[in-house]
Amino acid sequence: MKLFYCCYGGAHTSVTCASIHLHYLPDDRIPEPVEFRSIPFYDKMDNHKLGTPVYMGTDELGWDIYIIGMKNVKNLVIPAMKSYLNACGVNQMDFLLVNALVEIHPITSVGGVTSRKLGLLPIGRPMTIWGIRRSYPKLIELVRKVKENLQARQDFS
Amino acid sequence: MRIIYYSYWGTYAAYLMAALHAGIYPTKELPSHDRIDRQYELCHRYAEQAGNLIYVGLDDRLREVYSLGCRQHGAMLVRAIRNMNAVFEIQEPVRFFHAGHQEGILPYFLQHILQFRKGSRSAEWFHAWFRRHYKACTRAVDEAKQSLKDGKIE
Repeated sequence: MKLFYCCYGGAHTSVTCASIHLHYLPDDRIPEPVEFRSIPFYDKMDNHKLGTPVYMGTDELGWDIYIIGMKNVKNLVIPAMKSYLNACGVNQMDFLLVNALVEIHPITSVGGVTSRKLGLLPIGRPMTIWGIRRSYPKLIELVRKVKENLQARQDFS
Repeated sequence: MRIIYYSYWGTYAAYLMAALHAGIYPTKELPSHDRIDRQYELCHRYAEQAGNLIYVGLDDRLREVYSLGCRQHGAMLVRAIRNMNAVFEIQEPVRFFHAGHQEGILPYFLQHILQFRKGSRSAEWFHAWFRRHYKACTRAVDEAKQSLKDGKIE
């Protein structure tokens, strides 16, 4: 079973959510900036790789956790993925797509553009971290709800 | 194997090429007026939706043929779908063929300017577009089929 955290660039928000999910980042406090630098794929996704799912790890329930960047066209990418998997006979219950773009601080977006689009890592990356830390409680809440959902699915089946 | 023809709209050139590939449209001559009307109806109803695969049929080697509307994000959708094979360990390969070169500007005109309004003669415009692009689409499908024989990807 696969879970995809989706966001605009697949570099910050989705990576943070996946890292909270997999306990690479804490879910009881706001991590220090240095902790973000040590998680895999943070601020790494290149623009020409958008749409490529990246495996982050497997959680305690056995779900494989992926991140994926979809720009602002998730209304296009998600149906494409779902209809293709449907054509291939993959059960719709075997995967879950989660929108990780939840009221993120605007500085994160500015930092993301500075870092990923303009290539100014020393300026952009700290800005993304600053913004993500401001929104961190919302991301914890999102991951908590996702985990509850996964647990309920497991109990149901 | 699955074959997907994709372009900005999934119901114009992509569908036409997929239908040619699947043998629904004849390669030597234009399809009947009625058949062209049916594609016009498909455009009228479904051109605005994008991202969903449209199943067109099976080709002579029983490969599933689809069309897909991608707007201007074809490359990203192709990457997303291709990678689903790896993520879900789907053994059956998928091949993509870009149909955007055969589309021209008229579909945009039909969708956004005429919007299939009554009395806008949009059906006549569509028939003209169809006739104009049919040969080029036939050639492109031949090339696509040849590349499948040669084992080339796109």
